[in-house]
This record gives sequence, C-alpha cells and structure tokens, in this order.
Amino acid sequence: MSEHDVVIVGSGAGGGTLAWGLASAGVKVLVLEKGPRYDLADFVQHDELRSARRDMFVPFATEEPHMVKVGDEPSHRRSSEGWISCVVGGGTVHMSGFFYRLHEVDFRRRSELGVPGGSTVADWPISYSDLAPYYDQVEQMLGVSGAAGTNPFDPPRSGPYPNPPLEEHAITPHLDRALKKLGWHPYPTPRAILSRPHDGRPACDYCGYCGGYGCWNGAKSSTLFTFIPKAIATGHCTVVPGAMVTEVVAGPDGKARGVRWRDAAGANHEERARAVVVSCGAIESARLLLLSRSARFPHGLANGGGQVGRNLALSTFASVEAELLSSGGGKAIRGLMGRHPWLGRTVQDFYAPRRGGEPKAGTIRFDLAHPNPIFNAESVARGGPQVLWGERLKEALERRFHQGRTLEAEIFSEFTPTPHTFVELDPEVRDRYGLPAARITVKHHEQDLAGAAMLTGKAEEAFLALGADSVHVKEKGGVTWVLQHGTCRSGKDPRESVLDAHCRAHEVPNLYVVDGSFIPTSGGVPNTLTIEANALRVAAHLRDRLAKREL
Amino acid sequence: MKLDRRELLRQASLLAASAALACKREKDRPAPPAADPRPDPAAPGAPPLSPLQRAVLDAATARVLPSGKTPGAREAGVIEYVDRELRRPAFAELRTSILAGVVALERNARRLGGKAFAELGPEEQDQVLSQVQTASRRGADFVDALVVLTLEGFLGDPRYGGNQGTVGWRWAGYSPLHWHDAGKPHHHE
Repeated sequence: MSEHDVVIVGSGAGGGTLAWGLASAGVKVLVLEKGPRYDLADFVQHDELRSARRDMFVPFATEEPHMVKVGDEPSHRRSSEGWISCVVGGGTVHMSGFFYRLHEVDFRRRSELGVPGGSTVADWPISYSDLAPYYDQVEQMLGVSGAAGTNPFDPPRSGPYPNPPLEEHAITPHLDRALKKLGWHPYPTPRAILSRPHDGRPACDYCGYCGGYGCWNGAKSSTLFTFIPKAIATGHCTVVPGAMVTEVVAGPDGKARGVRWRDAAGANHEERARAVVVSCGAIESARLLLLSRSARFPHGLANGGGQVGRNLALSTFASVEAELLSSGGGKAIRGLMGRHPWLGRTVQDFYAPRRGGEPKAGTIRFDLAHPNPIFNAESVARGGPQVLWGERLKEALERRFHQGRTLEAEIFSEFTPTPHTFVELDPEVRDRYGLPAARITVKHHEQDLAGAAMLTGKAEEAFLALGADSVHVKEKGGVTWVLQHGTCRSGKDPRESVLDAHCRAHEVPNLYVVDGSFIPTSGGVPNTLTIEANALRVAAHLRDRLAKREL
Repeated sequence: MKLDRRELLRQASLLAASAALACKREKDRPAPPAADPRPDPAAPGAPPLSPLQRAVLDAATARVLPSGKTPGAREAGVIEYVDRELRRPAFAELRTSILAGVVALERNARRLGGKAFAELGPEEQDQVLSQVQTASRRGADFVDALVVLTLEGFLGDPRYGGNQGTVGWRWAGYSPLHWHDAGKPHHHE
C-alpha cells in the first residue's frame, strides 16, 4: 500500500500548483523534483553569472545536453536550450512574472481562423469560460497586480485584480501619450509580483533584478513561495528535491503503477501511487514518457498514437531596443535616468487578425531593458554585424550605462504547430544519468515570422513616436525557449492528441500531464498563468475521481 | 510603497523562518548548503593557462576593454577571471576554441610585427585582433567569445576573480543588491 495517493513529477507552474490543489483537499501528494530547493538567502546577492549564465537553474550542456536544430541549421548541436529551470518552483522562480490570460480566440484557433497550410492547428478541448474561474482563483491567491478594464482586448473578467499595478518609471506617461496618439491602447502589464503586502509576503522593492533571478524577498509569486509552502502546510504534501525520475512505470493492466527515481546519492527508488502526474516542462515531459517503455507501450507511455513529442510549440520571440538619451529624445522627460525597472506597459491591439490574410500575432510589452550588467554590455557589444571591442565598445557602453535609458519592446507571438517542430529521443547522446537526451527540431511556420515582423514594425513605430534617438531590431523572429507547449496536447480526438480535456492520457487512465505540454495552440502571451489555472482545474477533476474511488 | 532595507530584511527572515518550520513538519531533508558556484580549483579538469597563453589573453582582453581615463580589463583583473573560468569541465570546448584563438593571435603577431603578441604596441595588437576577427568565421567567433569573457570578467561578481574591487560595477553604475544603490561604495567578501 503506497504512502501517497498521487505522485507529481516536477514542481513548477503545473506541478507546484497542482500539489496544493490536491493536498488542500486531503489528497496525499508526493512531489519529486529533480533539482535543489533554494531559499530567500540564495537570492540576496544578485550574482548574474550564477543565476543567468551558469548552472544555478539550468544544467550545463556537458552534463545534461539537449540536441537542438533550429531553422536551417545543418544538424543538431549540443545545447542547454530547451531547459526551463530544474529547481523546486521550476521556471516560476526566475520568471519575470508576466501574467496574461489567453484570449477566447486562442481556444478555438482552428474553428475561427482555420488551419494554416502545413500546420497541425487544432482547437482546445475546453473554452476560455471553462478556465476563467481558475484564472480568477490563481490571480486572487497570488495577489496578481493589474488593472481590470484598461485593456479593451482583454478576455471577459469577473472582477478586479487583487492588487494595483506595480509602480511605473517616469518615462511611462510619455510612452502612453505617444502610443495613444497612434490610436493604440497601452495598459498596465499584469504581474505575478506583489505591489502591496499579501498573504504574509512583502511588496516588491524594485531592486531591478527580476527576470533570470530568484526574488530575494518573496514578492515575486513563484510556486516556491506560494503554492508549495501552502501545500506542505496542509500536512498532506511531501516535496523531495534532488529526486530525478527516470521512468513512469506501467503495470500489466496498462495503468501507471508509479515512478522510478534516483536520489542524489545515485540510489534507485520506486514510488507507487494511484495516479501519476508529469510536469517537467513540455520538452522534458515528452522525453520522460518516451523513455517510459514497456511491452504494452513500446513507443513510450501513452504514445500508441505516436503524438507524444509532436506538435511542439514554443513562443515566437522578437525584440526591439530603443535609446532615449538625456541630451536628445529624453531631454524633456523628468526623471529619465531614474533607476526604476518597469515601464509596465502592454499593447494587444494586434493580437488577433483584423482582416483575412493577416497573421495571428500577439503581444508587445514595453519596459526598460533588464538592468543585468553583463546582459546589457553583451547586447551593446553585439549590436552590429561584428562584435564591438576596444574604444568603440567602451564608448558604446558609456552611452548605454550613463547617457540615457534603453527601452525594450518584447514581442510574444504565436508559434504554430507543424510536423517540423517536435521532440524525440536522441539515438546516441546521453545525459549524466545515462538516459537518452531530448533531441529537439524547431522550424517556424511562415505565418509566425510574418506575425513577428508585423509586431516588430509596430514596436519600431512606437519608439519613433516616442522620440527615441535610435531604434534597433535586436531579434526579428526567434523563439522564447522557456515557453513550451503541445508535446502531449489535449484534445477530443485520440488520433490527434495525447490527453483528454482533463489532461488525462487517452491511453492511460491514471496518468496526467499538467505543464505546457497540454496546450494545443500557444496564443500570443506567455502561458505561466494559464498553466497554473489549468492545474487548479485538473486538481478539481482529480479530487473528484479519487473521492469516487475511480482511481 | 517602497520598504526600507531593514524592514525588508526583517520580513525576509520571517518568511525564511516559516518556510523552515514547514520543512520540519513535512519530514523533509533540510536543503543542503548551496553549492559554491565558482569552478572548483581542486577538481580534475584543465590546468591553469600557460605563461604564454596568459600573456596573450591578458593583452587581448586589455584591447577589448582598454584602460585610460576610465578603468579597463587590467584594472578589473579580467585575466584572473578568464584563467579560472576556463578550467571548468563544462567549458572544455570553449577552452579549446579560446586557446586556438591564442595561437592565431600569436601567429599573426609574428607575421605582422615580428614579435610576440604581448610584446607588440597597442595599435599593432589592435591590427592583429582585427585581422583575426575578419579573416574567417572561426576568427569572428573567437573574438566574440573573447569579448563575452572580457565583459563577464569586468562585470561579474568579484568572487570569480574579475571585477576586482568592484571597479567594473562602479564604472557601470551597478550594485548587486539593489539597482538604486549603484555608485555607493560596496563592501565585498
């Protein structure tokens, strides 16, 4: 008889949230997290090298490689791309906490907008209104900061945000004026960062070190400081860090029996449970299922249909930088050089196509460039066709650090699933545990590059309207690797999907996947909030099934 | 509403205490002390740079960020950072490319000025660096990696060997605790 009802693999936006959703109702939950558990003390010194450029969150490619091929690259190369964050709290520990909801059209992209040629676009098996009460619940519990009613393109909301927007930089009113003159509707970016004390956590102190870092006072609402301690406090949840799950084990009846995992000392364990939930990030969750082979599932657990690892969607990324120099375009802006990180503005005027033939695009977010010094210096050095060095580099750095402020428009745009973007197991390369590495192939659909190009043009227009001294397209059509979807997508038709509408595997009735894997179409926003809301929805369903002894 | 530092630390320690309490209740193992993120000097891996390699990289990084009215790579001790970081097992491939670049610099130096790279004057060193950068894809990649290492060594935490005396942070106007603190003297371990 197992000690636990449910084993959850991974403790990020999906697994961490689900753990509370179950434990708060008395379900006995074991969370196995491959990485370490950090604490506030680990986040006090904002060591940029450690946090963002070494292996605090993401393994070195020599230890745990991904084999990656993007676009027209000739072959797969060893990389650390495709990892999100291997720690208790997952990606929510180092996220910037941009907490947008998907729009209604995103749930029915196929029915409303059709299937772009060569794509595998499918509708979600649920609608926005199925998820809405859970969006509300996550926002309320985490104390998300925002201003309802300011974005005319927002999906329907039942009420206000629990906290007002974060404080804004002195540049923001000037940006608002410029964007409104263009006829756009800038609004405060909703954040999973406290603008006021909430639920025992203090408000943000605007230290500037957000994206890429753990939050030193817990104001950033990672699952590490919210759902996970709440789950543990119920007395029904155990979290084990340093626990690498190597296989989800299927019994002879075709159900998941439990998981095999390895501890930090290298000893193997097996944990049995009534249900298994996988939540390692879409790439690694697919890999885990592909690794979990048996006589009944020779191609991987729940993969009789051959869809596990297919339909991978990332997020299409573009970025435009602009300078406001104190002697130039920033002259009239009082407080230009203020050391405050957030402009805090978003524009969704170009989210969905307004006319036939327009690409499905997404969101433009305006802020200052992250203040991380090495990141900024590197950005400056790589600003042209050849890397800068010498006096020219020093002058450019001096300009970046002291003569004005650098703004960034970050673009989150649709990434359309196709047969050309997928995850499989590498036939040769293994990780330090001896397991086949994930082999990831990525190719944009042309509609995604068109969407990114359109939004990039809009961002340039915005900065020119603001009076920027220079505008530079830093990236015109890349990917945001940490935003991963689709590899175990949910759907009504088992031939086209891995999971049903409750994120339960069609082929394995007690196996669930609750990270971004379940998401059929990624929309034009980062989906951390969506993953957390869905995890609460799945928790309600799972609680019900456990209570009825269906599992 | 901005909280002052003392209040922040007080609240942070309360939160940490309650997390620790929950930890005991859940029968969990306590978290191990955070691993030192610096490359382990005792671990098996690459040896330190040879005197020639060190001399070339010291000179080359000093051309990436020259000294003058404002501090450069030499003031920050960038070469110390480079030497230590290239010993990481995870950077074996990077080390190989950087050392191949060292050979290219040295070879071009002898061809151009008849001397070792480290013995050329700064203008000639710049010429050699330009030559290597423009001669081939590999050369361009090497100079790119050299610049990134120099910037990391200039602006990274001093415990990795560079940014000595926080000279890089003070020049750039950064504090590792709070962006607002930039420019104030910073005491460091």
